[in-house]
Amino acid sequence: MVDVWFRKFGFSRNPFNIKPAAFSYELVGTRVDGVLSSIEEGKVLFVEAPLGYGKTTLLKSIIHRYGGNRKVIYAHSLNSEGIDVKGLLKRSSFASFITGSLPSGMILVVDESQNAHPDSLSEISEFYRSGNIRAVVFFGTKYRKDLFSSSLGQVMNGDVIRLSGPTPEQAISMIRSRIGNLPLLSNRDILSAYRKARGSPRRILQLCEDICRAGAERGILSSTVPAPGPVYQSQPLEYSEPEVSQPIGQASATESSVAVKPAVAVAHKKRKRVVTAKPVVAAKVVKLKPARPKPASMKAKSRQSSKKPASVKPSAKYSVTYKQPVKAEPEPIPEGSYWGEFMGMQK
Amino acid sequence: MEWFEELGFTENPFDTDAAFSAQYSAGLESQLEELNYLVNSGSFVFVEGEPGSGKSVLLRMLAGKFGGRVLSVDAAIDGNIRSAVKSRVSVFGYLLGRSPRNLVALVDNAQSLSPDGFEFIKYGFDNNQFSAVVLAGSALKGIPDSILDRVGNRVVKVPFLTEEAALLMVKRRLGSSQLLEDDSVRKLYRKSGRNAKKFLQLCEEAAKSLSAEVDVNG
Repeated sequence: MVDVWFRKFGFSRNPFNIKPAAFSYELVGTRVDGVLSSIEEGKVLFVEAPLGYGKTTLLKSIIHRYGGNRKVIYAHSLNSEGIDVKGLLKRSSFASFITGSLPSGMILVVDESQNAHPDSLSEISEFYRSGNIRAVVFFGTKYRKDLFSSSLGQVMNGDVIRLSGPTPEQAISMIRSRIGNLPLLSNRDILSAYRKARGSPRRILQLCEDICRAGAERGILSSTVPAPGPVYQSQPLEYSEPEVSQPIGQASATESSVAVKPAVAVAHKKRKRVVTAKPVVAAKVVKLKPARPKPASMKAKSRQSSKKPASVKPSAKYSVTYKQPVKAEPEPIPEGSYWGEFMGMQK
Repeated sequence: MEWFEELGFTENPFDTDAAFSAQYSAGLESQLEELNYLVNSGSFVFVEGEPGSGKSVLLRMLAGKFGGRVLSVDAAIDGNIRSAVKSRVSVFGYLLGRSPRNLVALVDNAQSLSPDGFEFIKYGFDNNQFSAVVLAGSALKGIPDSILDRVGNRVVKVPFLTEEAALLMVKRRLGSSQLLEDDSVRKLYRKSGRNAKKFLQLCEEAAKSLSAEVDVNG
């Protein structure tokens, strides 16, 4: 389907995909390292977070990091059945499967642990003591202390890590790591999605997808001027008025204009920059190519809101207002916030 | 002789079976388009509509668009859909082992899924066995939070039947036959409570009584 909005912008798949598997390379940072070091130290850990906050993404990155199915057992607490821990151990490698002897030193990750069954927990505890399992990470929406203490007792020697949601700035980083400087979505749009989402990463992604899709379908290719320079820096991000009434067809002259028509020429131009949905993310702040210096935007900054853009009205539904430039307050990154570390942001 | 045969049809033109109805549907075009996008963008979707509104028909049309990549199950038949999935997927080996990718899961009567069934769907979506999931049901109530969280606002509501759509549906089904005139159709529509299935059933009753007249008159 060629006319899907993200394909027009050069993405082969939806950049706002909510699947945990979709962008598993996103996860870096010391908080994540906290989970990893707990595994290295052979502890039993519980990671607690609300729905849509990244538990399963983190879980999958652990599997990936430790070498896949032969080193990591992925268990999934279904409601009625417990976890067949022994069965999982047996099936983890061909050798075990054939000989029936159980492997040792396996890492166990358990998703949906709010549904954990006491019998399964006891079984896990046994295999942990005997060395077949060397570390456990439980993931769930709720840590039930009574259940875990009674079944695992002293074995539950790791911490309970609670994942909090992203700060507004971190949300922007998360989105930008997926779509780069795509002008279809301004930082202000991201912030309004963040507010509406009440901080849930999954919801932020869905709302941003809605905004981009609506914009693209209405032929709006950029909603505000992208901030000059790399987007990730934690300094006040200034927003400026979009260029007023660029004549249609000349939209490619500057990137700061609001294109009325789905100018295919501009789309092609963008396509070059936004080639793939996989930016490379290192443990540091990602260096995006800074947007070209735009003298036009400098002028636009000083312009006040007296002249509203006459050429196009974005859909009222998404409340992208052009009334005043908004300054984003730099949010201090809270200690221990998963999302700060998640994006490798400087403290 | 079946009543519709007496009237010159080879099959019941008012059959409400989903596969049959999919060929003659009217009034669901924008929902289908929306679903098409949502499936192509890898979403987790809920199709909401009262019984008889056309959910199964929509799923059927969607299956048509995605061909062999689709896994259709009806949770009303088996709330723990694993067995249905296994038999479909056995060609590829055990689903959780050597797994297929990019299947589109279409689940009808989602409110009948067992807790295990929900977990299974969720697992399949998270691990990309299913590139997209469409659940169809009469209400969001009773669907677990973890599923609803993935759905978010991707809820496609099946609309009430409009008079326009009703007329169009009948025209398509009857073809060139003048069996039911527009006025009669309008009357039947007004009795239908804007429910597509009910409407078709009323049409069938009306058609049957017409065929009875044919009988009586020789």
